[in-house]
Amino acid sequence: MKPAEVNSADSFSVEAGSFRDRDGRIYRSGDRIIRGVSQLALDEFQKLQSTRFYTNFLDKGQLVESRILPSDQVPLSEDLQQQWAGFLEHSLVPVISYPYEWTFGMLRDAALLQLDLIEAAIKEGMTLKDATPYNVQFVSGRPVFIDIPSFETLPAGAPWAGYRQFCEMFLFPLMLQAYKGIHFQPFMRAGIDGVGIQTATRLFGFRDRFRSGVLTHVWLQAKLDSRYGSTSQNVRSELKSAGFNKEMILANIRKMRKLLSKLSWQGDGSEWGSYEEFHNYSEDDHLLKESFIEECVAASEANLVWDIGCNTGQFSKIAAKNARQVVAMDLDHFAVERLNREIKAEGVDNILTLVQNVADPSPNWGWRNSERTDLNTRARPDLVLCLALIHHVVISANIPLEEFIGWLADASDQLVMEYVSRSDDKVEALLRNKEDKYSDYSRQNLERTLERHYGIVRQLSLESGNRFLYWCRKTDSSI
Amino acid sequence: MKSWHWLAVVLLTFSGEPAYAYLDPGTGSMLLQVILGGVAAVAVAIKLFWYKIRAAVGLSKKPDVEDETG
Repeated sequence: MKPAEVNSADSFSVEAGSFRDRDGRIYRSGDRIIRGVSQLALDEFQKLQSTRFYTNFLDKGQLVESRILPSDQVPLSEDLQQQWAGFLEHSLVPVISYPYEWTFGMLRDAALLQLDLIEAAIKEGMTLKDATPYNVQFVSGRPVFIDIPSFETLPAGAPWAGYRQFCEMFLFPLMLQAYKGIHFQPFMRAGIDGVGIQTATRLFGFRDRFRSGVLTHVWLQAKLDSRYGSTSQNVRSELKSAGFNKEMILANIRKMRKLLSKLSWQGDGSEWGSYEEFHNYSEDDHLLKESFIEECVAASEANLVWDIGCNTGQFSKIAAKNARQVVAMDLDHFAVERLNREIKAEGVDNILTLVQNVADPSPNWGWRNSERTDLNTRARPDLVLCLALIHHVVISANIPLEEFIGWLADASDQLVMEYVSRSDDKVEALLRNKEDKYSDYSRQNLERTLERHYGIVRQLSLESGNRFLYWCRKTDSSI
Repeated sequence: MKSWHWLAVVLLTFSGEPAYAYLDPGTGSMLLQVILGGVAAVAVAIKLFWYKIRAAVGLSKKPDVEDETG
């Protein structure tokens, strides 16, 4: 995570998601992340650098590495250089991910980091001016706080500025999952500001008020919000004159941490079931499949690999031995949660786990539809693993085979595909109660379609006779 | 749940419904922090409450108003 070495570069882009903070803006120049900052933000950064907690969190890898760029090393246009008082350079996050792609455990880890940082900052006279999960990214399996200008001096008598945002973007989504079993990701994807207080108070029923934290953080906050939202008084200065101080923020944060550590989610029965009976083929076939994938990933020389429909993640782990970074994705939240817990326990540091449905993937949205982007824009893979997934996409999600292969070919230049034939009992189960309109789902059609986009480099039939593996790579003529 | 929290719940249960105006989304959440601020915050809450009573009966000496209106 060391900032890149300086070299001259004159092409750069503005990061679309960084416009809200008037005191800074992010620019990307090749693999370098440069932040223009106002004089105020520059002064705050220098103050931050002198604190003990900054060094501590940096040493633990929980804060993005940053340095002030000397003015003769800023790879941006003259115009831009004039706009800002100074420039910081941050180390690059390999794959940017968003809270609606995280699991329960990831969102909670990010929330706890946010609390640890604000607690440490307050003790040294600073604070975090906001509390959004978009300021946290996962690097080497750990949450890392990336929005350095969020740190500012704590004004005397001020409350925790990010408290409400913390509730709407961390606490309420986590409580929805833990208390109600409602997946939080659709809420986070539907609203850039998370689960609003008035929405939360309607989602939690009367009985939920007796669960830890609901009565105060949800119900009371909603009531106070309605009651005092239109007050003409300056509550901020009233609080200050009445003697509000940082000890009260610290008390609230300690209680919040206790509440978060009690929240847990263990999935539901159906998801556990599907995990137990993951594969229906012989051990020999399993070994054949493993070695085919290992060889292909190694020979592909891919840096970034996507494993779509990763399920238990066993092939993501194989890929991770041979690639720099793997993004393991599945639509099953609990499968991804389990994988995330496993890789944390095993210390695998180059797999990023994401909840993602390829039939309904993360969109470009937010302000001007570009504040948050699709995954391919953020992390274009060199190779996609698509193992025993195509029958779900074509038959369950009704996406025509040609469409799906076209999408895969747009996403990446290389593909490892496992086709599950119609006589496999998994496919039979999908078709059992469906009218079979899927004449496109055949091995012949698959091979024909693959060849339209790629060259097939290597293939393997498993001994069961029902499963076929292909490693495909775009040829000069197909690109 | 502390008895202090319950008092706030009871008071607010009987409080009025929202006035729809220019809502400042931060205000209610700031006030809640006094309730969540532990023992030390009780004195702050009493003071705040005292301001409100004085304001209600028209005796209000405006608290220090700063440039920033939040």
